[in-house]
Amino acid sequence: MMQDEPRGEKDAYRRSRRRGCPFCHDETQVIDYKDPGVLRYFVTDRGKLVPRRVSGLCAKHQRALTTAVKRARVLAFMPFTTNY
Amino acid sequence: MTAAIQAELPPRLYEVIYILRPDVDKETSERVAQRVADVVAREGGTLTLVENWGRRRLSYDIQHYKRGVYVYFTFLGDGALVAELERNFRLLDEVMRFQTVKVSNDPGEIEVDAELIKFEAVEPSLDEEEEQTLEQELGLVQVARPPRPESADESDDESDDESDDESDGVAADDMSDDGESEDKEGDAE
Repeated sequence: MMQDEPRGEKDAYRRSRRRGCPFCHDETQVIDYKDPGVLRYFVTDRGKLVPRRVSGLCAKHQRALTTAVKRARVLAFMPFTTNY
Repeated sequence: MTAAIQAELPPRLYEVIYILRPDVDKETSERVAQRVADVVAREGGTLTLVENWGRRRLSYDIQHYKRGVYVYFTFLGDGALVAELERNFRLLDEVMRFQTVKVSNDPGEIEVDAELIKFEAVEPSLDEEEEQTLEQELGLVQVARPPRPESADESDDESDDESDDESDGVAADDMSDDGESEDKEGDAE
């Protein structure tokens, strides 16, 4: 709070602090099961889906993401688990 | 009745990815692609796009193969066509995996380019492939995760953080961050 005023890049600072849903924030970024590069950020090292409280996604995009990851797994774009 | 209702509905746009065994020869992959085209044509659908993504590494073994030839195509059609396509995929031993996803209920007019629906077989070249994937693996090992578009910002504000709350532990840090940001938003608006 007290850091707010003295900073020149006040707006940039505040924007970066708002941990909103990245997919709501940036409309150009879409959740696509064919693009495992994006999905990878939202699964653990073992390939498990990350919960919303960690991923920071809104309900709508978390839902879309879940579907996308599950589709990507079927086509072996992503692992179901690393333990096999 | 149902037929009449179905007839009124516009064709839906579906996309399909199927994975062929990595050791298929050119003829076999072309045969599969031809069969797909035949089935789609027979059931009154329209192919709109065919792409051969080539041999790719699988995230996990399928039928003891570590790689697979990915083929992607989209078509306009109905549920009966999807069922018929999938039945055909099940009959083909070369197809290890397939998945159909509905893209749109009402795609509108789609111009079909004859070039785009041609299937181009990729010549298998196992030796090259082996080298490439090894290099890729090494590349992956060396290159750290590309930063998320956001994370650049985050790292920025992490460095900003250092002045106000230093080394509180990560979890505590996050908590205080959230609280603060909410406060700030309230103040601003």
